[in-house]
Amino acid sequence: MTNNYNVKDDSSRKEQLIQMVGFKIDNETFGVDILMVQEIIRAASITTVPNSPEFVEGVINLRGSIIPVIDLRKRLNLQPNNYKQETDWILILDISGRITGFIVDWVTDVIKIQEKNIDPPPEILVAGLQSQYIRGVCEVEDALLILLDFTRILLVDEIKKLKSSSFDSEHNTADKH
Amino acid sequence: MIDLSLLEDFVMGAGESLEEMETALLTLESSPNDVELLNTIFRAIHTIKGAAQFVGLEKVSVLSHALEDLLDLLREGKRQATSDIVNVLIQANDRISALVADLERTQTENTEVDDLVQILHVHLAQPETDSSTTDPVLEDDPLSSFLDDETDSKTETDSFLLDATNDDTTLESFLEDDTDFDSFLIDEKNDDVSLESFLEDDSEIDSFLIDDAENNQNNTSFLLNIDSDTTQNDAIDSLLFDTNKEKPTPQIATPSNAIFTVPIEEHDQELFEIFILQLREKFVLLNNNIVQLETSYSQKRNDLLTEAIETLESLKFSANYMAYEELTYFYSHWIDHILDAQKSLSKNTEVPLTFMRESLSQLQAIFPQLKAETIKVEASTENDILFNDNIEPTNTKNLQEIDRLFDDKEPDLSGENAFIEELVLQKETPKVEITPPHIVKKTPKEIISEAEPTLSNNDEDDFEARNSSVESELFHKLSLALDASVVEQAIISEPINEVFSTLLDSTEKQRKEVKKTETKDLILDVKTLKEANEATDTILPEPVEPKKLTPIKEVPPKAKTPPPQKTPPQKTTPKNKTIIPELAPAAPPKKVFKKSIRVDADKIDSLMNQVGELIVDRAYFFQLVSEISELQQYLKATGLAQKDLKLIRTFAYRFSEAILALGRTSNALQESVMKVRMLPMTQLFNRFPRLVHDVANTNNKKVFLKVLGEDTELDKMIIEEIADPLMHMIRNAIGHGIERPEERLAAGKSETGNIVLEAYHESNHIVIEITDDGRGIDIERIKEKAQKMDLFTREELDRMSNNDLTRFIMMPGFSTAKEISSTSGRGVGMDVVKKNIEKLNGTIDVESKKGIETKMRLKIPLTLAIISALIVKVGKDSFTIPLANVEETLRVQYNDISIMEETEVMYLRGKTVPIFRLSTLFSLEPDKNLSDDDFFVVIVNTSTQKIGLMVDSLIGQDEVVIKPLADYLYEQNCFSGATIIGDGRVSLIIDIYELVAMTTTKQINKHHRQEKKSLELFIKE
Repeated sequence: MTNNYNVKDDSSRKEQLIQMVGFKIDNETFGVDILMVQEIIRAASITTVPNSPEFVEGVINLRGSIIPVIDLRKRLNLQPNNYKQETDWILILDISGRITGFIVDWVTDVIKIQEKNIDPPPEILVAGLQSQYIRGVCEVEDALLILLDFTRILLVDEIKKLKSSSFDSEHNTADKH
Repeated sequence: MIDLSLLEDFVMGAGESLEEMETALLTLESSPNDVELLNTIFRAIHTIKGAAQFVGLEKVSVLSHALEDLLDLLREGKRQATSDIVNVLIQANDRISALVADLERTQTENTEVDDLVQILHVHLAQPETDSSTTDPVLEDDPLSSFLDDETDSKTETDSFLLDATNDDTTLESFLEDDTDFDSFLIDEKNDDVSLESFLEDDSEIDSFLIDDAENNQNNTSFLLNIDSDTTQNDAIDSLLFDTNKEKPTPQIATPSNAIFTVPIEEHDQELFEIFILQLREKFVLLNNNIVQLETSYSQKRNDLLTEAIETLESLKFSANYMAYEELTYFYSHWIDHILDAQKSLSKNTEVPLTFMRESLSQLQAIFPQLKAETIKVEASTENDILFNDNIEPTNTKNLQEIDRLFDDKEPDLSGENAFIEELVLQKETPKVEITPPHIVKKTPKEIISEAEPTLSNNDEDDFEARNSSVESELFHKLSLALDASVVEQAIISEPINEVFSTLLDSTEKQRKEVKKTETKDLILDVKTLKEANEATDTILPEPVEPKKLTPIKEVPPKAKTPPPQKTPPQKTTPKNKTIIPELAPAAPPKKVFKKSIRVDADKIDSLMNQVGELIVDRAYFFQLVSEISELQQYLKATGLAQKDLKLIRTFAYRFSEAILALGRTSNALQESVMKVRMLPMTQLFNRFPRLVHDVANTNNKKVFLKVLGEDTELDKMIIEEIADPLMHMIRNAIGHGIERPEERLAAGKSETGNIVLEAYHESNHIVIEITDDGRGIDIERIKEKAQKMDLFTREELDRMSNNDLTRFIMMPGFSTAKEISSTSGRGVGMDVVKKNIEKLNGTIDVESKKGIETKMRLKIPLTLAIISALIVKVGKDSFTIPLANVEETLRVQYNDISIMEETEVMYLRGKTVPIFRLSTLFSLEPDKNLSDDDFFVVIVNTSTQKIGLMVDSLIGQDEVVIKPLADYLYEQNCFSGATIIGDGRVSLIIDIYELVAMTTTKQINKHHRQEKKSLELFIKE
């Protein structure tokens, strides 16, 4: 179906359908381009990495490769989860070569949207989320789908900075004692 | 211009040759008269030159050519290898290295060579010092003067003719020339550019050749000369052993009576290249086909033969297109042969398929020639090579006659008639003669020993029998060699070289041993060879062997006399003899064929990774085995019926057996893959003599380097990693360790300092020791410096052991040198060395006795990818500690621990060791169920410090595969990677060095904070 559509409207990129994997954190629906998603797993045993940034949940063994897992909720500074789910969903994404796992509340389904329907991120905060991590928003069935910019989320420099600041603050707090 | 595809091979090959050359050059300094060394150097430079020309590298060729000329003079003793000359040679070596480096980076030759070439020419032009004195044999030789002349004229006529310097009277020089010439010819075909640079056009070659021929008219022409008056044995004699007799003069071209020349074909270069390309492809196909043929059964064979026919048909077609009549004919004959074979196959009769390989060999032989076709040189046909018999010096033109001869004389050989026939058919094709020398290698001894029997044995029949077998054997070897060379043309020069050297060696020896009186070892050789021969002879009579083994097996040492002994069925006959000398020596290698392939390191790495996976999987299976036995226990406890239990027990048993088998296999696999990556240290250690030479010279010191255990093998990657640290340490040893000659004499030592570089294995590690007998490390200076740097107080320093103090030299910024020189004194070196070694999970130790010696000891794991490690548990997580760092594990009572400056410490054999709780360091929850009374402590050791790590429990020791972590996880962390343990979970590998550094900073921070606090308190008050 998609193919037919694409053939028909090849000329107009705006008309193109993109498929997004939808997932939820709390009640917000987020989306990530299906092409980035390598797989979706549940319940991997995560090994914590001491002294790593807070949002790095740890590493998992994915068929012999060791893959870092980031708690997306913590990374995006969203409200902490009130209740603990039995098993998390882990989206394994290929972000320009870096295979990384992201913990989300649950993965919903594949959502098809039209490129032209994607709006730039609004100036105001969406769902308590800094707009820098948002690639765009899109209205789907009366709800707002937030397309995340994972390249930005995984910006290594930023992670390092975050880490050192957390490291410093740890020290600062220690100093205060 | 430069053939890029070949460049890579050239760079690699040249690198090896350069190393070889450099080593030899350095040795040459101390023993300037060592002919063997000169030969080695010559060989190396010749290899480079050949390859450079082949690839089309002008500068390298020109430089190496000039070098060759100079070396030639050295070799002949016309020049002494003075330190001056050696230095020039070393310079040239460096220059070529620089060029090679250029090529590697930019694919162009940037470095200038003209200045050096000039210098070389100056050396060359120097009046020849007493050329005659050095080599008495030369003196005897009536030809020498002639040859010298020849050289001159040649250089005049065409300075380009490589190695025109034919001043050596012996065969070898001739051969060289020839080979050079050949390589040159190949160049011509392959590379217009290089060709042009060397020669304007074919006619020039021709004219040169003719010139040459004329010059040599009076001599037995070597290659193509049909000199009918030389009879077989005479020829041999004259060639090899009779220096007084008229010598067969090396000649590239033949006098007019020589053979047939092939009309120079003006074919389209491009077309020809395509042709060769196709030929190459098909050749590989055919070769595969033949290999399969030899191992498969009749039905399959039939198919394979059909395939072969198809391939040949297409070859034939292209040959036809190119208007190579002989070649076309050759192909059709081959096809006919196959058809015959197929017929007999269908009748279920045993068919000899030997002809396949033989034909292939011939094709190979033809192949290089094809390129050089335009030149007359070819005169000799395969027959020359094949039938090296000079038994029939007759200019038999009649094939049948030859056949008959063979038949009559050698009933045994009937099976090979087909082959012979073919060869005969080939006679028309201009080919080969040059090829074989390139390919066939033989040690001089072999050659001589083989020659020996010939001399004593006049039985013609015997000869013939042998010869024919020899020829096939020869061909087999040729085909082997050619296989390689076809795939990698660039390499061709290598075999050439070897042939050279063997030739040189052999002739030299022969000269010395002229008129017999064989030396003992020769006799021995002959004997053994004879024995071998006899053994194989028995196999010989069976010509109809389906596999081509027969010809190969019968290695009749006798036949191979360097002197020609083949019934050259042709008009070419007499020449053959002349040719043979090169052939024979060129014959089969005594050294086992070195089978090696170049593989992309990445491929090996990925193989290694997969093996790593396998090991992880294996660990998982082991885990399962133990789970099954737990399950068994559980089921038993639940009161399962005995009968059912038995089922499970049997299963569990079989399962564990299977896992054990898997374990064994994977162990073996792991080991072999690791071995693939292992290389002898030679490669690395070979660089050091040069380094020592240079550094010692600049420091005005005399140093002797002794290298031990260079055969020790080590992972290639590690070899690369330790090259720099080692180099630095050796530089240190010379710069700081070894005293100046006068100081040494004053200290009662020998004037020359000694440095011993030794490598050996110690369990899973390699140990490299660098020992110098210099002044040793001055502990007092270290103390002063440490005090000056405010590292410790004088009292603390006085309490420290010498070993601890010595380790200071590895601290960043620590140098005891009084002034900074270009090579040392900034206090960076050893710090970097230590870092590099630690990166490899290695350790470094320094031991020094003042005034006597300093010993640096590196201990490095054999491989990087897999390490043995201790796995420990903290809370619910497991951590992996490289076993290299683990000193011991202890079970410690709480009482044994005391607190010092807010740090837990314990006394271990009279020393205080700080203890850190991993749970605290990593902010983890320790297992609450554990008693507080005793814990496990792992004592880990970095070269500078020893600390104890408190863990919840020890899981065990295992081989683990190191896997990288995401880069941001390394930041401010103390993990060097992670591994997957038996239960499939990830275990982080602790980087002990980082960990220790972290603990120290923590301590320091704590210290600072306390000071601050007390200061604040003080201020407040």
